[in-house]
Formats: sequence, C-alpha cells, structure tokens
Amino acid sequence: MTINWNEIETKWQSKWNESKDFETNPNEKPKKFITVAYPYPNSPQHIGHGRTYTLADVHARFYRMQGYNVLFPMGFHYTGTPVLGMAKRIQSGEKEILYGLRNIYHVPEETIKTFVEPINIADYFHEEIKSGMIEMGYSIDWRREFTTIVPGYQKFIEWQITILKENGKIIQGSHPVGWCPKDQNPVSQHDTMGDVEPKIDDKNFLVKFKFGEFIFPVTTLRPETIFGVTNLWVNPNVTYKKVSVDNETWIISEQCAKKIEFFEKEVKIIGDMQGSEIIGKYATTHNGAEIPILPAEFVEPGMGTGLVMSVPAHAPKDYQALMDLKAKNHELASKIEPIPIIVTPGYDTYPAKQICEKLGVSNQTDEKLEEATKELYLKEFTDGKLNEKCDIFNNEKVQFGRDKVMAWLQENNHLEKFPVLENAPVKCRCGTECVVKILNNQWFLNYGDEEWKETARNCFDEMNILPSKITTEFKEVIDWLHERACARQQGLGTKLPWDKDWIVESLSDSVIYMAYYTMSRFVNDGTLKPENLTKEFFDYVLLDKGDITLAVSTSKLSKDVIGMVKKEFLYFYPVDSRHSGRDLVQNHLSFFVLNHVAIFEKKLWPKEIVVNGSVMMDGAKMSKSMGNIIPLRTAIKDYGADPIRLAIISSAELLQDADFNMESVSGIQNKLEALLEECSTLKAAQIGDLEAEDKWILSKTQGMIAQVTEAVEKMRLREGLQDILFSFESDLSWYAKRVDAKGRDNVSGILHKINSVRVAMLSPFAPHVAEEMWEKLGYTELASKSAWPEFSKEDVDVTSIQSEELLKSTIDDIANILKITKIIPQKIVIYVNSDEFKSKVYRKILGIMVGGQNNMGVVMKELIADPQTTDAKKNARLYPKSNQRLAFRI
Amino acid sequence: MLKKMPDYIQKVIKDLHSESEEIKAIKLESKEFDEKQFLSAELASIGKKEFGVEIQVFGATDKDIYDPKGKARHARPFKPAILIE
Ligand SMILES: [Zn+2]
Repeated sequence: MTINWNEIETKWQSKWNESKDFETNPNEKPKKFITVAYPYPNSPQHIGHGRTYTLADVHARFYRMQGYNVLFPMGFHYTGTPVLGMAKRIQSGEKEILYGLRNIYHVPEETIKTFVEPINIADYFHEEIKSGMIEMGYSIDWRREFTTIVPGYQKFIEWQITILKENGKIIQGSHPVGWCPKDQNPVSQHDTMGDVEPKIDDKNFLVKFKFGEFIFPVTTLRPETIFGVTNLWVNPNVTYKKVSVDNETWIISEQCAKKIEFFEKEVKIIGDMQGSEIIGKYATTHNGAEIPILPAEFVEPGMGTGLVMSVPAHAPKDYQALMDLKAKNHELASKIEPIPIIVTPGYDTYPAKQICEKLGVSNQTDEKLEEATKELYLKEFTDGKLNEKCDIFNNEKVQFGRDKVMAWLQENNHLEKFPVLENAPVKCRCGTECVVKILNNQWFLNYGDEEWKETARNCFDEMNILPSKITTEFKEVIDWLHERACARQQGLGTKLPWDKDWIVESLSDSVIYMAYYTMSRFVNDGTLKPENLTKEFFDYVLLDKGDITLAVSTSKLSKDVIGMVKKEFLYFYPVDSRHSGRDLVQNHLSFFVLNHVAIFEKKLWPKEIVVNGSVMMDGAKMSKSMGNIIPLRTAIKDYGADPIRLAIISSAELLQDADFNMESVSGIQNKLEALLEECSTLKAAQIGDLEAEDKWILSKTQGMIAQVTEAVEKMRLREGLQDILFSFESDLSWYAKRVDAKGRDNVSGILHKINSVRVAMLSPFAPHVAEEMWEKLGYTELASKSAWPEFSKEDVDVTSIQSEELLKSTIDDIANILKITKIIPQKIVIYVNSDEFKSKVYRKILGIMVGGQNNMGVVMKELIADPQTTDAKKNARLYPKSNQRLAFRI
Repeated sequence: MLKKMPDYIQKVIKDLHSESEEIKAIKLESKEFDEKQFLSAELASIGKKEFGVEIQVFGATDKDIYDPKGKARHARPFKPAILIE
C-alpha cells in the first residue's frame, strides 16, 4: 500500500486542530510542562533543527497518552545580534548566503529584497519555521506563541532583570569578555561563526620585571613560581616594541601590544628593540634580584607578551632549555642553577629535572615536554607545599598559596591580570577575529559568585538529567563560569530598565521565559495588556511576594484576573522537562538553572533536562557550505513528516550525533506502509479459548509494553521505536508459523489486539500514520487521545514463555542437525528429561546463574553447599583440573 | 548416572549461559511444567510443517521407549535428546 504522506498529514493535523487537544488549560489532572529552547528565526530550518523538537514532541505526546495534562508551547527568539548579523551579510551580498536562500530554500527574490531590514528576516523565517513545525505534527499549544520583542515579553524581561539586580546577581564592574573590535560589542555563542562560545581564561597573569627605565612583563599561570625565577627567555629573532602603557614603558611583542589595547589602557607604540640586543643583559625581579636574559627560540611572540620567565626547578621546558644552553657551554647559562621552591611528595629536590629524565626528554623541542609539564603542574598544585624560599608563604600548600602570592604581588604593583582567549581563534559573524576585552563599568551577571554556583549545584543534584552522563559536563560549566556581560548596544531586545543605552543580551533574556508561557495566552487574547504587567503584578503572581491589593492597584486588573493568572502559573510550574541540543549545555541550559535558582523558590526549580546530539548528513556535519543541507519543509514534502521523524529518531540514541541518510527514510516508509496494510485487514473480534501460542504472543506483547515504556521514560527513543517496529516482528512471524501449522483461522481478534498496542505506542513517534492505522483498526477516537498501553503482570503467562522457548529451541536443534548431517528424515524422535534429580540440579544452577554468574567454580561451590545437591560434589573432585578451568571460561 | 554429573553440570551451565537474563529469570520465576506433555501436544503440527515427517515424543524413562541408539540418557531439562532416522 503506497501512502500519500502529505495527504494523511493534512487530514490528521486538521482533526487535531479541530479537537483542540493540544490547547492546554489547567484542569484536575496531573500536568507535565515540556519545553524546548525556542528557535532563532535568522535562517531557514533544516532537518538538523528538527531533532530537538521531534524528541520533545514524542515526550509530550507520550505523557499525554499516559493521562497527563501536557503543555508544550513555543516562542521565537528575535533578540540579539543573529538576526542583525544575517541582515548585514545579505546587505553585503555574501554569495554563500544568497545562494542558499535562492537555490536551497527558494525564498522569492522580492522577499530577499526586504531582508535589508532585520525585522523582515525574523518575521519571514518565523512563519517558515512555524509552518514547518505544524507540518511535522508537533503538538504545540499555538495560543501561547510570542516573539521576544513583543511589549508583554519585554515587560517580563524588565521584571526579571530588575529582580536579579535586587538580588545582587547583576553587578557593575570591570571584567574580561569576548569582543568584536569591528562591531564594538561583546560576543557570545550567538554572535560567532560556527556558534562557538568564546572561552576566557582569567587565571592567567602578567608579572612585571624591571629593565632600566623599562618594564619587562611576562605572563604566567603560576605566580607563586616568581620565587624560583633564575632568568628570562627572549627570542633573539623577534623585534620587540617599546610601548607606552598608561605611565610605564613596556617591552613586549607587537601582538601583545594589540591585545592590551582592549584592556582599558592607554597604549602607544614608541619604538623598536631587537631581541638580540637584550640578550646577555640583566633584569630586576620583584625583590631586587638581578637575573640574566637568555636566548630561546621556543618563545613565540604571539604567546603572552613574547617574553618568558624561567623556573628551571619546576618547569620542564625551562629546565630543558637551560640544559641545552649549558651543553653548548653558554657562559651565562653555565652559572645558573635551578632554585627549588616547592616540595612535593614523590619528587626529589629538582622535580623538573627528575621528570625530564624519567620521560627521557632529549631537547627543548621534544614533544614529551607537554606531558611532563602537565603532569608536574597538576601534581605540584594538588600535593605541593611552598618552601622557605617563598618568604612569608613558607609552608603554604600551593593550591592556597597561589592566590595569596597573586594578591600580594598585585598590591605591590608587580602583577596584573592578563585574560586570554582559550579557544582562539574565534570569529565574529562579521568575519572579524574576536579578542578579549576588559569592559569597565559594565553590567555583568555575577556567575562567578560561589554561593550562587553552590545553589545551582544543589538544583543539578536533585534534577533528572538525561542522559545522566552529561551531568559532569554541567558541573564543569558551573565551576568554570564567571562574570558575564548581560547587555549589548546593538540588536533587537529589551532595554535595561535603569540604563536605557543597553539592551539585555540574548542569552540573558531567554533563561526563565518558560514562566511567561503560562500567561502569554492571556496577553494574546487581550485579557492582559502590556501596561497591566507591573512589577508588583509579577512579584505577586510569580514570587508570591507582596499582596494582591498592591498588584490590583498598580496593574489596574481585577482580583479575579490576577488570581486566574497566578493559578495558571502555579499549576504549570515548575518545568518538568527542558529539551535542548548539546551545544547549549555550556551556556543556555546552565544559565536556565542559575537564573531559576536565583529568582524562584525551590519548589519551582526545573525538574529535568534532556540533552540531544546534533544531526549529521551521511557522516558529515550539515552545513550550507557543504551543500548537504536539507530544508525541513522540502524533506516533509518529498518524504512525509512521519518518515522524517522516525529517521531522525532511529538514527541515533539521545546524545550521539545522528547520521541522517535517505536510505533509512525509504526503509521506514516501507515498514509503515506494510503495517498500515496489515491494520486494514484486521477486525476486532471475540477472543476465544487461548492456545499455547496465543498465551505466548500475548505475554510477549506485555514484555514489549514494559520495554518500550521504560525506554521512552528514559528518552531512549531509538530503542523504543526499534522494539515496536522491528524486534517484535520475529515474535510475530513465529506466531504466524505456529498458527499456520495448526491451520487456525480464529486469531484475528488476537492480532487486532496486539497491533492496537503497537499502533498506540507508535502514535507519539509517527502521529499521522498512527491515526490512519488506528482508524483502519476500527477505532473512532483519536490514537493521540487513546491511553498508553499499560503493562499488566496478570496478562503475562511465564510458563507459556518458557514452554514456547523449549519448542522453538527444539525445532532449531532439529533443523541444525539436518543441516549438518544432510539427512532426509524418515522419522524424528524426541526424548524429554524425566530424571527428577537432574531437574533439581538444573533449577539449582539456574538459581545461581540468574544475575550473570557464569563461573563454574562458584556454581559448584554453591551446589555443594546445598544438601539437596551435595551428591554432585564427589564426582566434581574427580574432574581433571585443566578441564575445570576450561569450563570457567564458558 | 551420578558419575556423569560434572559433565552434566558443565553442559547445563553452557545451556543457561547462552540464554538471555530475561528468559532465565522467567524460568526461575515460573513453576516447572511437564515438558513431555507440552511437546507431545505442540510439536506435531509445527514439526510436520517444518520437516514433513511425524515427530514422536518419549520421556527418557518411559517403559515402552523406542531408543535404538541410547540417546534418551542425554536429555536435559529444556534440552531434549533427538534421534533422526
Ligand atoms: Zn563583528
């Protein structure tokens, strides 16, 4: 049976629409609030975008069938620079973008002309994406839809940002941010090419040495090693710059001069200085010691300041560079001895020397130095103690001493912060390479606050995270997070209520908006007008703060309306499940938790996060430049929504990257067509007395229900779908064989019952064709409204399962013998065990082996311990040892 | 009989090892059932269909047993011995 997919999809979508089944209001049933990160309408939707939404929709449909009142809403994220960036790229006539719009997505030429206005881009793709979602059959309550630039939403964001400021979570200060020098704006994942979050390492420092009237700054991650410095390294082939920095003159590389311009300093290059000119001279340390400047070609001008301090007792690279010079009888180098300043258990006086010798490092270009450095740094940090050379820091553990040394040096103007971009190069969407900028007097969300982090960790500990192995990634993100600029000067969005020059940035205005879904339908139908949404109104509704009379007087709303809105919020909140792609773990999903715990009381904290991998196309990342993009709406037209949904689900388990390919789509189409065909032949009928195979197949059906239910609960959707569509087929074909051998024609009722279960369970996955099958099976209600099949232990006949296994294995054994011996059988005789002692031993062994025990020695020991089977013992001793060992490996 | 026990145990472990945990658990949970009675009732139809001949079923200690090759003593629970002529 060939299916006209689009026809049945339109048919059932309009029925769902008529029945308003996905329009969810509070009622007496328990609820589930399923949300997914709303899309950015800055570009068209391709199959990759469909994955998260499809997984969330299956989740929502599953809970609905389980009897929950499920809210699954959707909004559109207009805020920020992505839409703006797209407009700029179109304005500048970027070929790749225009080609994609014209030839892949077939956007009309007239429409493309309007794309010079960012809002037109957003509006166009908003409608495109929404149509795609409807065509995919997502069970969304569209009454609650909004964009992030409508006045109601902006009122909500103003309130959110005000509460955060009141709670001390927003601070004004100077902090490093990722920055686009061209746009003069901070950048985050939304603003960069390839959606990379710029990662700033702010544990990098600049230590100052004196060189006559000049300053020699060097960068280090380990300020405590200042006490063990023996010399500086300079690259003789580099031309350094004399740079006036505020009121000092620094000697640094040109690259470094460019970086510090963004550190809120007066920077001016005033002259050159050759590396070779400096070598052999002396610099002065923080405590007045004179140390020689030595040549080293490993010093790169692009790293730090282009100068390096040498700590040969503890830095393997410094030790080896020194040894190399000594080997060449370099005069100054030969006088230098390492100065040990850290004592670490397991290492002798000169740890760098010891580890270089242990790993067999040959010279300063040896790759083993990376490993040596990593190992020693970590060991000294966790187990090391500073020694008497470190003056007042004698006996401090390195892990605490480092911060103290750092603070002390900073007080005495020997040290400054030198934040660097850990994952450089990162490019802005405009094409410019991003830098680290220290933003002065800017608004930051204080994600570095240890107390805040701790509360977020508590929330993560109590919530369900799927798959659970992603939990450690969240922990790392929380550890790493620091102050984050929360306002921008460009793009669409909501102004900071207290500083109207700034717009709340797009990863800060999308953290608690799920709460807004609970009231957006009242905004959309005019019950709530933007001007009603006062701070006192939100305080009362969302935080249960203040009293209703204040909310009434400021909002000009009636008590009843406010009460209704509050009731709806408290009914749907907290979020029961938040779905998102893995790329949002490091920002959006973590901010989602941080902001919930900062604003709401504990009972309103999110309950679950579900993270999925991305979508590949025939093994490659889907991207415009590779031309392997499939627009979602095109795919739906060509292959049907259900086959696309199933292909997405069956290509990978949750966290894996899904590899999408068209062969799997047509395989799925065939499978669904066959199942529909079968359903149309089955009629509900009375089920009479059950024969052995009936009891067995009905028991197996119960087993399938249990397995699929568990898989869907854990969001192992590929496994669940596999069980429904494929694994169960082999059981069904055995059943058909048995029924056929007996010449029975009274199994229609049983097959109808079994396929009703399968179709009901298929409904969340492939909702349209499941409705079609459901109708063919003779049901008048919608499949999406039917109850999820429930596992019933009474319907499992365990004896029928083991007896049918016996029958199957006996048939298999006979077939195998015939295959091996190639006998044409005249007669087959079967001998069944009737020895009770053998049965007793069998059951005893079975009892021992359930749970995975396969070791013959252990099995024996337990058999001996049981008086009922001790007879087996004497004989076991006679058994040759070598054979016993063989048996252990079975 | 008893002298054969270690060999028997080894074979049973092997039988059970190749079965799924699920089936093992089901076997343990359910009562023993009469293998002879079940196979006598169910094997004939499917056996005839699959192999085109009649299949006879004996208990290993049946009095009137047809066992020219002495196969019956190899029968184990869930693993009947088979004679093909
Ligand atoms: Zn830029």
